[in-house]
Amino acid sequence: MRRKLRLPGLAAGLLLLALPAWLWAALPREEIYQPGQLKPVDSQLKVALGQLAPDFSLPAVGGGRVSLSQYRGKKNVALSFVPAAWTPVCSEQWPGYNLAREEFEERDTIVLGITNDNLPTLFAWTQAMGGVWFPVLSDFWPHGGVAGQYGLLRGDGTSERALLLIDKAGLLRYIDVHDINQRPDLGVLMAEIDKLR
Amino acid sequence: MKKLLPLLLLAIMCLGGPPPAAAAPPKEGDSLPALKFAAPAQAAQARYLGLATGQGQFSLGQVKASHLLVEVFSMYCTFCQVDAPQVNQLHELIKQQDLEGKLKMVGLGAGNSEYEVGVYRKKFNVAFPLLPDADFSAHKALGQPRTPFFILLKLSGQGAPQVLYTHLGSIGQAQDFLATLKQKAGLK
Repeated sequence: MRRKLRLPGLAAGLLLLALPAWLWAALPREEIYQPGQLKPVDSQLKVALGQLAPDFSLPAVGGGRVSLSQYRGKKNVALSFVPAAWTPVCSEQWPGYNLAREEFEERDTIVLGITNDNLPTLFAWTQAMGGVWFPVLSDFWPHGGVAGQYGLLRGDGTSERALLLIDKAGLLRYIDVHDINQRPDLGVLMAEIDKLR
Repeated sequence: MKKLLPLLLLAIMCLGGPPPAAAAPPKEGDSLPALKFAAPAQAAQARYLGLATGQGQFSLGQVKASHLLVEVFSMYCTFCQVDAPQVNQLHELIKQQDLEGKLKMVGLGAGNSEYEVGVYRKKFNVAFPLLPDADFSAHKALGQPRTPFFILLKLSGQGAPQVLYTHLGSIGQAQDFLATLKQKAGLK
């Protein structure tokens, strides 16, 4: 059943990309791919608060690779894992972080967006959003390698909807493995970032 | 205990549980379900809505105007973000045309917390009140419309607001949209 969900999702995504934005906004709900209610969390966390966040290096949509350690001593990092491109909650979460750019920058924090999708898919998806200011990283190959390292890889190959806050020393200061069906409140994350000051 | 159950349920309903979910968004001619919101913390916004100082909660029918335009939006909705300047312009035109006593505006942040509607307000410098609906309860009671969704209401004091017009998606040119609103509301 889970395997069947992924191809229709891609097809729906391509269909949406082909439509002008105003038409997308006016599409009836029943014509938008909806994954339905999923198991809230489907993985076992492998990291803990206070530990050094495992480093990684992933290809970015804008080109090149981005590693976690390049921000050490420079910025706090908000890692935003989302389950999949072209799905309803994820397609709203990052445009919200895009809008809140100043809120993150005032707090000396970079967002790193990560999914298990490949780069072409992430490119098309973020273009459809109008672009985002933060690096979007592909954890496609080895599939979900970083998500697996953190214990955020779900049984169907997607990642959890998770927010992890890493301070300038590289330590994990906040972990929210969120119910995959719901969008985390940005205010909660910002309050956690404020605690780092 | 069985005898007490209906009374208990009635008591819970009277205490103000969430309004029931609607199957579809409202349409012209409908009555709006009873929705309660926390009064805006900003004094100027409470004054704009005509709410008494220190009023904890209010219903849309209590807004001091003959008509109210509700924008169901979300900070996370790219279409709402793109449309925000036009919606601000609409609010400005209402003021310029001296219609503010008759037609007011509120935004309803579907799934947005107080912080999140605050980000939207700050980013776009929104002058009309934005009401958080963090748990989607108002959004569900309104039939979960996609966003942005606009509802023009006729207010009649204590009675349920009547839906005069709805619109899904961008408002387009603010001037044209206002002309439509005036025509639907019978405003000069």
